[in-house]
Amino acid sequence: MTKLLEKAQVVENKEVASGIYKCRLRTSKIAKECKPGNFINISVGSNSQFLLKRPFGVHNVIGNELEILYRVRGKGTDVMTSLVAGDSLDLLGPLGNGFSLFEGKKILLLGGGMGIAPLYYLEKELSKDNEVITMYAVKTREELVDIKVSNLVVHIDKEEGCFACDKLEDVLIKNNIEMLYICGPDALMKLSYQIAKKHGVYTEVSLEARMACGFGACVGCVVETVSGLKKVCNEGPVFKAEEIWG
Amino acid sequence: MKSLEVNLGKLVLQNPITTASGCFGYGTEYSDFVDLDSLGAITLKSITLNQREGNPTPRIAETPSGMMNSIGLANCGIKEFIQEKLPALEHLKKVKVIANIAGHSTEENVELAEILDGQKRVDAIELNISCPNVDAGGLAFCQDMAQLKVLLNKVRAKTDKPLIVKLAANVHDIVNLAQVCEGEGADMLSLINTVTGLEVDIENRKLFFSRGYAGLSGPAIRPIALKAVYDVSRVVKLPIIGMGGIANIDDVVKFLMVGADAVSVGMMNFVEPDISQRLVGGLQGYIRAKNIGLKDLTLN
Ligand SMILES: Cc1cc2nc3c(=O)[nH]c(=O)nc-3n(C[C@H](O)[C@H](O)[C@H](O)COP(=O)(O)O)c2cc1C
Ligand code: FES
Repeated sequence: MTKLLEKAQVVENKEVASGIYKCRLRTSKIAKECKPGNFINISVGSNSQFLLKRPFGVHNVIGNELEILYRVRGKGTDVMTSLVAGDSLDLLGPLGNGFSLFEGKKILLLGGGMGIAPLYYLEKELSKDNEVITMYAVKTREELVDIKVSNLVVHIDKEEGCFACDKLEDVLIKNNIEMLYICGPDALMKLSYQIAKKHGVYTEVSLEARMACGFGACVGCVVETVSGLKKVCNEGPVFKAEEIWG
Repeated sequence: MKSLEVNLGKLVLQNPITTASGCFGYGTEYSDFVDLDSLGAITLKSITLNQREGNPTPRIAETPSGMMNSIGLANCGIKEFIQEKLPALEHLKKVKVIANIAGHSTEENVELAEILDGQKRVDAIELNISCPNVDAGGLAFCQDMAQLKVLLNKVRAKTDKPLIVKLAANVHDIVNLAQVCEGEGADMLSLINTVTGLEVDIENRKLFFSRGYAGLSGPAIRPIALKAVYDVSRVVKLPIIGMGGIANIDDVVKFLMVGADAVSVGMMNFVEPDISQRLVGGLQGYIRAKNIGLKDLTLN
């Protein structure tokens, strides 16, 4: 997969939940090359004193356009909120390995908070050939993004008084789930994997790391795995959960 | 087209644009973005005898107009370097390959130089005695002139390939250091490595990097780098590869004007992965527009 550098145009950039934005970008080639689980690197502004590109999971692809979902936290994303239609951005992608795709399986996707971002695109692809349930966990209703997938289970910690992983075992058993894909906070991914492992459910997780380059050159983004340190940007961001937690 | 060829003593580059160690992987990471054969030289990630995992995370912090790193010389080790990394560059005909070594001791550096001396694809060896991110070796070599002389002598004895010594600016007296290198047989100098700095994690009230100190790079250090090149080039005759914060063609010209013979692009490769090749074109355009040669890029 060739990594491409492009100028992309902002089509739309709007707040979709409290402090969470969806940005749609028109690309010439990158969008078409993106597979579920890939990420792209974005320059937030050439006049910024913050130079490094920011990685964002691909949230959706529609023809030449792709969408990202981002939470405002820090200077980079703060600047991004002021993007308007027609603005152009430097884009690098597709980056990373992506999720494994299967057919004819019963699959559960578990997204915690912003972890829902890459799972939406994954759902679109997987649901063509599999039975897919999407479990979307947030802390409060304010941060809930309206996600349109066919089998959606929303979990709001504050309202239910428990975490999504407390309900995971039930969902796995009731639906005879064979594979689980998780993206979210580390604690959620690790706990959920332990439950899935007990039931022999194959699990993949998508990790985050501080990155400088995004394509394997700086060795800044490593994560500990059972077989030594690996680069999240090009050996991941998707890993088999057993590679990370044994 | 005007020639961009530069003579760095024994090392001839088709143009003075090179890439900095640790910012260009082992070269192939950039082949989607850059025609590697269009560059003057590529300097590969520092290598050690054994594979090194490097420092714990976090290894990266962004700073205004730059970044800090505490990678800790993570690398694949000399064996894999020779078996896998160098062969992947075999097909390149024009670009020079500079192998950067960063042993933790004199003996390790000597052994690395000896092994690399036998490698055809290595056009020059850069000795990194300025890494701020390790306990042994690295910057420590710059603190002890007697030890440094022994190191340079012994490494020099093991290789006929052009020997570049890479220095940092945050030392007691960089000009003196450069003179020692010149006296002990170095063919060239690379100036500068990252500048040692500190970052704080205020949320957790601790130092951000596990080792505390880390190396600052990027446009933030460019004035420091320019001064180092300027000061050293007034006194020392060795060719100088200037680096530190190069982000555009004006920066390249500045380094050449204050005394660098070639330049190296570091962290900006992460930001604009095709920048090195664009700078080759940029430099060509610059001298054409001014109707001058590379040699005319000096201070008045
Ligand atoms: C992430 C990173 C890793 C680096 N690793 C090395 C290294 O292994 N060996 C070395 O000699 N210099 C290393 N450097 C220093 C660069 O080669 C260069 O000297 C320095 O970053 C200044 O140039 P710049 O401001 O253009 O980045 C590294 C720099 C960065 C940012
Ligand atoms: S972000 Fe540079 S190697 Fe992964």
